[in-house]
Amino acid sequence: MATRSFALPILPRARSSRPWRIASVLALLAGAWLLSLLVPSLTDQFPAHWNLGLREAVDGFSRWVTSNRITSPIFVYFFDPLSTGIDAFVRLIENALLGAHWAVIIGITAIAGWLLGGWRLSLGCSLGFFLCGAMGLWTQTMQTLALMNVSVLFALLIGIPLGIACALSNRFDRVLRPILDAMQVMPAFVYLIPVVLFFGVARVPAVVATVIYAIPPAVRLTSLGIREVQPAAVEAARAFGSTRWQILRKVQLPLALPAIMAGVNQTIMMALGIVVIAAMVGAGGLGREVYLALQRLQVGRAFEAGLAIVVIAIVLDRLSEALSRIDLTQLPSRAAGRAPSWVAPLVIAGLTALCVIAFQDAFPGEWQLGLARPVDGLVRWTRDNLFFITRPLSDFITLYLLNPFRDLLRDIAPWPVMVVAVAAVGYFVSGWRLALGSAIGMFMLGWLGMWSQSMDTLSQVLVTTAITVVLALPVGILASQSDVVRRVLRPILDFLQTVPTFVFLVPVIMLFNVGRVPGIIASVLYAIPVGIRLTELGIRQVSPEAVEAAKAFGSTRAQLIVKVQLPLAKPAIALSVNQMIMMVLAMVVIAGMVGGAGLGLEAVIGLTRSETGIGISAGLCIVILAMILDRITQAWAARQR
Amino acid sequence: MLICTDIWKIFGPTPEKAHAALAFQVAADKLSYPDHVVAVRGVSFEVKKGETFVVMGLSGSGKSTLVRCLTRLTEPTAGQILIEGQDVRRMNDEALRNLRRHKVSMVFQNFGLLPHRRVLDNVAYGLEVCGVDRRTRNDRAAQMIELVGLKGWESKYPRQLSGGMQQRVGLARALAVNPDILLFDEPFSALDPLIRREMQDELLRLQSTLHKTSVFITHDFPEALKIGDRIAIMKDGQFVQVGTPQELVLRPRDDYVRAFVKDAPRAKVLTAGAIMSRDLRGRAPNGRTVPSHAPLQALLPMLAEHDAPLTVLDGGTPAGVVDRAAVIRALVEEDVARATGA
Amino acid sequence: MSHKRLTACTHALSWVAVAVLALAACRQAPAAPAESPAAGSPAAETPAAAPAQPAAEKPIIKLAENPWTGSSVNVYVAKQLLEDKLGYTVEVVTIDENAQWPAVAKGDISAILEIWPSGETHQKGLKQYVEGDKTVDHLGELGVVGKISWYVPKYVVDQYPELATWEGYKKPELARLFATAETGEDGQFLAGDPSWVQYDEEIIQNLGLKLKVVRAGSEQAVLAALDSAYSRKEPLLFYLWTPHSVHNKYELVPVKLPDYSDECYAEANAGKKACDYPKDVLFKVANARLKEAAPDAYQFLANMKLTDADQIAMIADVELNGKTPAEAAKAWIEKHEAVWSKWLPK
Ligand SMILES: Nc1ncnc2c1ncn2[C@@H]1O[C@H](COP(=O)(O)OP(=O)(O)O)[C@@H](O)[C@H]1O
Ligand SMILES: [Mg+2]
Repeated sequence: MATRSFALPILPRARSSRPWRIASVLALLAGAWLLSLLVPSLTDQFPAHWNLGLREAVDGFSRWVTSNRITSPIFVYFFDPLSTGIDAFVRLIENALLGAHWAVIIGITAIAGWLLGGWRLSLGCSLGFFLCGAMGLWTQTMQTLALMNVSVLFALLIGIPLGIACALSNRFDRVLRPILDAMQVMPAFVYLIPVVLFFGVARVPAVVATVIYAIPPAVRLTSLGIREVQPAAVEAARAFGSTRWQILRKVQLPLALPAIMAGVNQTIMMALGIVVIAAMVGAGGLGREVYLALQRLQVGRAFEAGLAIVVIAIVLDRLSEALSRIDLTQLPSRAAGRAPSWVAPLVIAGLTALCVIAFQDAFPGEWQLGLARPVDGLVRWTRDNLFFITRPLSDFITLYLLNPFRDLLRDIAPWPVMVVAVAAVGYFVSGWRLALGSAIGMFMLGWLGMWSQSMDTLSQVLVTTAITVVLALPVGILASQSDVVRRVLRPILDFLQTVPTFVFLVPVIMLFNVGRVPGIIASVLYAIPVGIRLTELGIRQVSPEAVEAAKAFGSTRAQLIVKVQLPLAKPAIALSVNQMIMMVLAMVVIAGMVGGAGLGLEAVIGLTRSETGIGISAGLCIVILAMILDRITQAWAARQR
Repeated sequence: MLICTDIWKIFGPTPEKAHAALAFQVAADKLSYPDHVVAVRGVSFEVKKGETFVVMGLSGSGKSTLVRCLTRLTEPTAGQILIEGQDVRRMNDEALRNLRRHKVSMVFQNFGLLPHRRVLDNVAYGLEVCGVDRRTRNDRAAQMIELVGLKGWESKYPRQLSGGMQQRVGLARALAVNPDILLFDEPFSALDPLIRREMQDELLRLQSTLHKTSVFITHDFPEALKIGDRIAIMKDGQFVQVGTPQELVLRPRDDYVRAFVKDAPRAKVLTAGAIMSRDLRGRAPNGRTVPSHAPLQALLPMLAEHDAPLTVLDGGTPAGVVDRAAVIRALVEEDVARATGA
Repeated sequence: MSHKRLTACTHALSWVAVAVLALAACRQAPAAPAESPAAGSPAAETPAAAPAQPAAEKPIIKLAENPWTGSSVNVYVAKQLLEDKLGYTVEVVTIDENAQWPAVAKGDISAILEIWPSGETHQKGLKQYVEGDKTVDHLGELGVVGKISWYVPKYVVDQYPELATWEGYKKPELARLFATAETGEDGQFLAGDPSWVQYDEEIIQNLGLKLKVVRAGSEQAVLAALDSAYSRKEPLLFYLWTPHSVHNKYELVPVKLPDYSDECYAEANAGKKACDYPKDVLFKVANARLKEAAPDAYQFLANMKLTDADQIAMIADVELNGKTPAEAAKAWIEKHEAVWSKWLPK
């Protein structure tokens, strides 16, 4: 080894020993409890007069906006022209998509699929769109597609430059990061009404809300991609006297392209996630179908529209994934191994032309594929036949998991104790910074006037996450061991991840009764795909050398999993837990719509009673809970390394 | 051409303070400064025009850091760097960029090629960033590619090339801007031994026509001997000894250097002039002469043929004699200087 | 030259081919499907195709459609008459009732035809926009009168006649019929959509009922719970109103509460309410500038008036006969010329 007498070791910083730290934290907890015994007036409930006053401020602002909406120059000269522009743009795309013969749209998708991936992708994409037509949803599909395209375009136009800025400046990155977190976790419900105030109804607020929601992955992945460009390439460029701009344009951006494309992919997925919510402000399209059908309990109809959304999501996902997989450094060899690349497009174009001649513009109504009826039948069947399992299950979860836990967090533990306890967790997984941050966050919950709702929600989130983890881990492990399981799971997980949650709310309520449980079930269904995927990925990415070595020593399969793969995959699994919590938090509002109470209900009240102040406060509390839980689980995941 | 005086590079939170503390202490190598890594420690040297200066040291000894300090890819903590009389550390961004664009080129250990560009575009990169038009730079790049023997590979991507070929691209890229100074950071270390030798020969071939001033980093002593006009042995951020290959082999300053020298191919490194005895009396020139810079390797066949000593000519005039015994002694004994009593 | 260049060229060529094809197929673009082929629920609007119309000086009328059938049929009656009789282009904007006020104030929506006074948002909207800055005009009553009540399925009352009135819910053993895991000992009262005024907690407390409110969070949640309970003939007590399409599907009975009185709802009585909800007289509003921009349309919308029977008939047509709201509206228009001809401005 190298002699390195000057490479000085970092001296271990003086740190108090572990027992001592535990003792002091316990003492602090006891102190908090004692305080609450001594001054019950202050600690029984979060003091109502300790209030940030955010609600009033927000309401005051929205009153100002509504009364100046028509006259104020900021609206007349900024928001209105902007809205008009966006509206015109969406209509343009919509007209193009609806004006074109349906076969042409399918043909274009098929060719794009072929160019990017090959005949399988091509066939899959065209079949997908065909299915949308056959379910009688062609027009709505095109409307949603138009909205989606414009939103994604804007999200990328804003997100990618921001991502570049984040990659180049650490300070900018630090400032933007919490804002992105907030954008991603803040329920769209909360900003829907303000967006309507500023941008009117129909397409424009839908685009704006979607853009807000979809920007973060574009920023994150762009930044990550640039930061992860091989330093050697950047150094070489520097050594040849490149300016910063030249390095960015000639080296970093091209090399970050796959990551940026992955960002595009994620942006599309996020955008599709709020199609239904966007329908509440008049966005039309598939979201409107789901929204109307649900109001009438037409689960089958909602399912069809939901399925069309899934189809769009999967088609766009596969296309953009294929796009991001195109490796610039390997283009020629790829193309060289291919038959002349214009034959297939010409064949497809020919078929398309035939269809154009043979059929009229509108998608032929007689090619009906009615899924609504069978789905309705299935829902009725489960309602009538599974209730004997689901009712006791629901009661069990409520009585033995949710109630005790909620009572502990909300009623038994006085709020100072909760603040200290969460801070202590932060301290043990990371350090005093996180402890302080968590404590401030917890305090903010009370300060925003939402202490008890927050604790209710926190208890639900933790129980839900626990259930999700318990279910996701074994399935993930199984999927990592067997390609068959993985292949079978993939479409199911894709479906669960992209189908609008609203679609399965009705059946879930029918089976589990109104209350906190249906929200939990819906959240588990929403969060479990990510958990399974990340667990599986983590295990599959365990270094093959380690696995090989273990095999060489004659480990059985079970030993291999337990002694090698799981321990080595621990950081990845820890991260998957983090992601699951985030997904569960994203469902808090949905839970509020099916009887989940807590912060979700407050957010719904904010929307449905135009109480923007309440909505924003509840949304902020959700964001704060998310940040606390995220930072704690991230730190915990980092410790698994 | 290139003069470096007392260069320091310290990594850590407060390098300046650490430098002040370390540089002005006696017995500095005993001193430590917490949380800092002293990568380069008061290094001074000069490289003359056309000379190849090799820095040899084990990994972690600070070679890469040193060579990166020369064009401030890594900002040195202290010291002075003069390139053609210009003080590099005083240059503003613009001047520094021009230095990197026109005067000094670099070849990297891991090639540092841009994976998304074809060979031609990689080689043309240096010209591209200074705004040379496409046609001119492509012509020039094609020339360079031919020079390093890669004609026909212009439109391949780096990934499709073997390691040796990739480094040829790196070399061509460095040559394309026609720099005055070439910096090599262990350019051949990542290559297989056979390819490495081939590349060394290639470099020597190029140098024999181009005569570029070079700083060449390596951790391989034989490579240093083969390529260097002068060699600096680096250890823990400091130069232990600087000299020609022969000087190092004949007079290693300490055991550290001696350890390297031990396995040196002495027959190739040592010259007749270095081991001859200056005593010319009683030895009639018999037509068996060798030039004083001839390596011992070249003397062996002559001495094997006949027992008589050889006359060493320095600039055409006899300067001393070498006999079989002297050569054998030089080849087996470590400290030739001591043995010949020179 | 190189492979890459070549492939890039062919790629580009094929894209161009597709584009040309697409353009060729777009030839009839403006004639985009007026009525979408989608069957089942109301045809999706394609207002996109509208602006090319000659109605140059006539503004586009945008009517708000809320996600319940009653709202839809009103809107389609108005749409068809405005288009056929007055020559307007009408866009239907499907929107949540709570997002519509700022929109109608600004003119993004021209009129709303069915507003329930019991909606909290609507009380605010009236105060702020109609009485306050006068950006919205009150267009008078729709004619339909709604009513919020507590409902139970009829089979509950059949089995326990006492549960037809509020007194029945004072008895723990009867109230417990409605208990769930969330409510424990007490019976569950399922409160609906949070956007509606709800005094249920007050009423329960002041009448001393053995009930606990569970907030369903949305109307759909109540309906789904009802569907599920009804299928098993389980007891369920919930907040709902009439007219509502759900009454076509299930037999529901309103629970009799102490009669409504103005004193009961007086401001002074805040927190002490112990009586039934008031009647909901549905009303219409329009953007204030519509009066000048389209006086005849404004007049028409102000005149428009439907009876309970009219609306319930159309709702039944949609819910039971599987018509789209547009078709149901058309059928009603064909049969009731005498009614709507009076709406047309002279
Ligand atoms: N960016 C850096 N930060 C901290 N320490 C560094 C950095 N770069 C190099 N070092 C340290 O400086 C010393 C010399 O490194 P280097 O110049 O790369 O050695 P060599 O090239 O001779 O192997 C090593 O101990 C290395 O760990
Ligand atoms: Mg190195």
